[in-house]
Amino acid sequence: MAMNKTDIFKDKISVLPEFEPEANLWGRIEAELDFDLNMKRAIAGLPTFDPEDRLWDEINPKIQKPNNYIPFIVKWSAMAASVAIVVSLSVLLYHTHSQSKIIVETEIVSEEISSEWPQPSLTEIKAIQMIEQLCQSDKSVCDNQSFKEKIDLYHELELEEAQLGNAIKSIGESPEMVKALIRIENMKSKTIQELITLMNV
Amino acid sequence: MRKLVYILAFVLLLAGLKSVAQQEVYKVSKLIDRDFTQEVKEVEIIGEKATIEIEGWNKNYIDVQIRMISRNPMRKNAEIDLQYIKTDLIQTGSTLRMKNFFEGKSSQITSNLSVEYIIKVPSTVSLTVSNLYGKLMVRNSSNQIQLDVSFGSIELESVNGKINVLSKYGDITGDKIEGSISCTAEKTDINLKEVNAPVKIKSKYGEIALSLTSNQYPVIINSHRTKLLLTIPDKPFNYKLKTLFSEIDLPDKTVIKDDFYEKKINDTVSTLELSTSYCPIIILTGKKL
Repeated sequence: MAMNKTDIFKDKISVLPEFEPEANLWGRIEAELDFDLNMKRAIAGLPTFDPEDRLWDEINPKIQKPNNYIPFIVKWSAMAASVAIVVSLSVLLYHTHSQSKIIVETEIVSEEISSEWPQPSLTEIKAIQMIEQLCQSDKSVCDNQSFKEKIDLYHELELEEAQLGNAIKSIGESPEMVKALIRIENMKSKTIQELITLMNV
Repeated sequence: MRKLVYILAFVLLLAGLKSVAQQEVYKVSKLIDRDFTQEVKEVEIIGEKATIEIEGWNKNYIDVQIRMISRNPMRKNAEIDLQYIKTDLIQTGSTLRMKNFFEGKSSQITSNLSVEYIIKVPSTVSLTVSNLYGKLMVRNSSNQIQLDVSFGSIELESVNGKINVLSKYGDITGDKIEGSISCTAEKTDINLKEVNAPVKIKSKYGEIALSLTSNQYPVIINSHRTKLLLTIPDKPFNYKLKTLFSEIDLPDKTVIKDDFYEKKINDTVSTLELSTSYCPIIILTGKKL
């Protein structure tokens, strides 16, 4: 006949060794519990005591101050570092002040589509060449003071025009530069016309 | 045929409109802003492609703003080219000097570079200014002024100090001129309104228009191939006029051809001493320019 679980458990327990605690064990545990309780009662029953106010005033002078000695080299190094920091900061501030802020904006500008530097027209070149050729064959007109003056003016205008042209190519144009250019162009044309008129006289 | 003309006109109109274009550019600028409170008696400016604006004020210090400008459709190029604009600003004793110039090879620079000066000065400070390729404006000044401008314009307004101007290939305009003005101009047009000051002008190739408000000060214009137009108050003047190969038009509508005209009333009124060649002398009364 098969044994059930309860029978097996009872059978195993019956073979376990027996152990009897010491007779005073419970008495010791009770005594420790009583000590904590008694201690609490005793602390609560202790008298309170406040020290007199002047006590700390008398103690303070007697406390020995910590040694504040800083080595000479450390002291001067710190001072030098401080001066360096101040100087660096001043230089930095000066640079910040002297360096101007760069501003970037966009703008719409009107410009001529064909704003290339005007070259002397073929007609103008031909006219000057013709005048110079005629001067070689017939010097009577070209020796005239008024004629010489106009030829000098034309060459002066050419020179000024070239100077202005170089400046525009280099740094860009301005309205004043363009106006001066128009003035020169008009004067050149007028001078050529006057030269031709003088030659026809 | 009529339809064809309209089409042609429309095409020409479009072509005309296209001759001007608008473009967005980057304007990169750097500003120098300084005040000079120490004793300054003279300001000297040497500008190149600069717009210089000087205004007299009633404060006892000088305010200087110099703006360097680089314009380019490419932002990076505008920023790079800004470095080619150089400026100096220094006070030596009682003189404050400032100048700008462009340093760099033409091939390196792709931007349109320029400089703007805005200067405010007390009335006790005298000015010596030169500029190339730019505009110069002087307003509300009673100082001694010395100006030298080539390929640029000069604008004067409410000035009553001793003014000396040298101009080449430019325009000089002025309004409310007192004190005195002396000018040497070449290939320059001069237009001065409300002049109540002694005037002395030497001119070669150009046009001069003056509007006088009194007959108290002498006007001497010694010119060559320059058209002269004077508007004077309806008061007596002494005349000393001369033109060569042209004519003289007087206020009473008299026209004198290719000649010399002299008329003296008395020494208490001013004399208009004008000479030119190949161009007329026109004198009108009353009408403002």
